[in-house]
Amino acid sequence: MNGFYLGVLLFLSCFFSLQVFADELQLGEEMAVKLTADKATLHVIHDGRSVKVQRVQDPEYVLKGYYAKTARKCPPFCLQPMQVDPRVATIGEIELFEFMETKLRDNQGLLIDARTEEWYQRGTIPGSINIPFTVLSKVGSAESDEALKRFGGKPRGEVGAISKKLEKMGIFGSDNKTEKWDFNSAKELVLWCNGPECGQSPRAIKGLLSVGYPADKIYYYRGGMQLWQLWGLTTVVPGE
Amino acid sequence: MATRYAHTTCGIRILLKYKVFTLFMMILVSHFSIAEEDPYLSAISSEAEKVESAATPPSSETVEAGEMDGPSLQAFEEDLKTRYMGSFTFYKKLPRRSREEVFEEYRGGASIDEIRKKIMDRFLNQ
Repeated sequence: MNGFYLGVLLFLSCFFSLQVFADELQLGEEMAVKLTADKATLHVIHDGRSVKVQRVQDPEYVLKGYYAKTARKCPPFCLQPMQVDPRVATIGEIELFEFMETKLRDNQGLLIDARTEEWYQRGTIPGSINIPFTVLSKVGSAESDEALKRFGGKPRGEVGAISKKLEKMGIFGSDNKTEKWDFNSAKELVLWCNGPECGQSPRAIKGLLSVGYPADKIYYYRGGMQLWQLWGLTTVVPGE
Repeated sequence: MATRYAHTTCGIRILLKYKVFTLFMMILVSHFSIAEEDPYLSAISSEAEKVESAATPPSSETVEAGEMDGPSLQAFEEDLKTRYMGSFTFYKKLPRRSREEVFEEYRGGASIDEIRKKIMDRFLNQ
C-alpha cells in the first residue's frame, strides 16, 4: 500500500516538474526581450538564493542614473584597452551567461566583482563575490594569499632544491606552478568592475598574473556594470 | 670599567641611530606607496557616492501598477487560481503556516515558477 502511495507521489512529482518546465518554456516564448535568441532567462545562485537573470521587458526602457553617464574625469577614469594582457581573454555578455550556467554553477569558476566594497554594496551582478582589486594587487599579503586559496590555489610550502631543478629540467611537471603556489586545481575566474572606463578589474588581473595565476584561467568582462545595466540585465543589492 | 661603559653607551647610540634611520626609511617608503595608491582610491570612493543603490530591473512579475506595497493575499490566490489551477489546488491543501510562507516568498519577489515549485515541495514534504 505504501508502495502505491509512493508511486503516486513519484508520478505527481514528475508530472509537475514537467508542467513547470513546460510553463517555463512557454514563459520564454512570451518574453519579447530574451538574453539570447534561444534563452529567455537563466538562474544563478547569489548569496545562497536563486536569482533569475533576465532583461527589462519594457521596450521603452532607458538607462538612467549613474551608469547612464558617458563622461568621467580621465585620469583616473580612462577608457581601458580591450585586452588587459595578451594572454587573458576578454569576454562579452553571451560568454558570461555561458560561464554562469556552466563553470559557476558547477563550482569550477568564480565571478569576481573586483570593485571596492562600497561599490559592491550598491549593487552587483548576480552570482558575483566581492574581492576588491586592492586585495589582489597587494601581492604576498595575507589577504591576497587567502583569496588565492579561495580560488583553488594551493600553497606549496618549502620546495626542495632537487625538485626545483627537476621542474626546471621538465622532468617534474611545472605547469601552473610557481615557487609558492600550485595553481593546477585553480578555478576559472571572470573579473569585472564598472565598465570600459574602470581600471579596478584590470589592476586585479595584473595582480593575479604577477603571482603566476594561469592566464588561461582568467577572463576579463570589460563591459562590467555599465554595459550589464545598459542591456537592462538583472542586478542585486547584497543583503536585500 | 669606565671605558667599557663608554663603549657600551656608544654602541647603543649607534644601534639606536641605525634603528631610527631604518624606521625613518620604512615610514618614507610606505608613505610613498600609499601616496601612489591614495588619489585613485579616494577618486573611486568619491565616485561611488554618486551611485544610487538599486537592484535592476524591477521585476515585472511581482510588482504591478497600484501594488507597490506588494500584492495582497487575495490577489495572489486569485492569480494562482486563474493561471495555475493545479498549483492552486495543492496550495489550498497546505497547512496555514506553509501557505503563509509561500505568500511571503511571493511578496518577497520570488517568481511564479519558484512559487509553484515551493508549493509542490511543501505538499510532497508535509
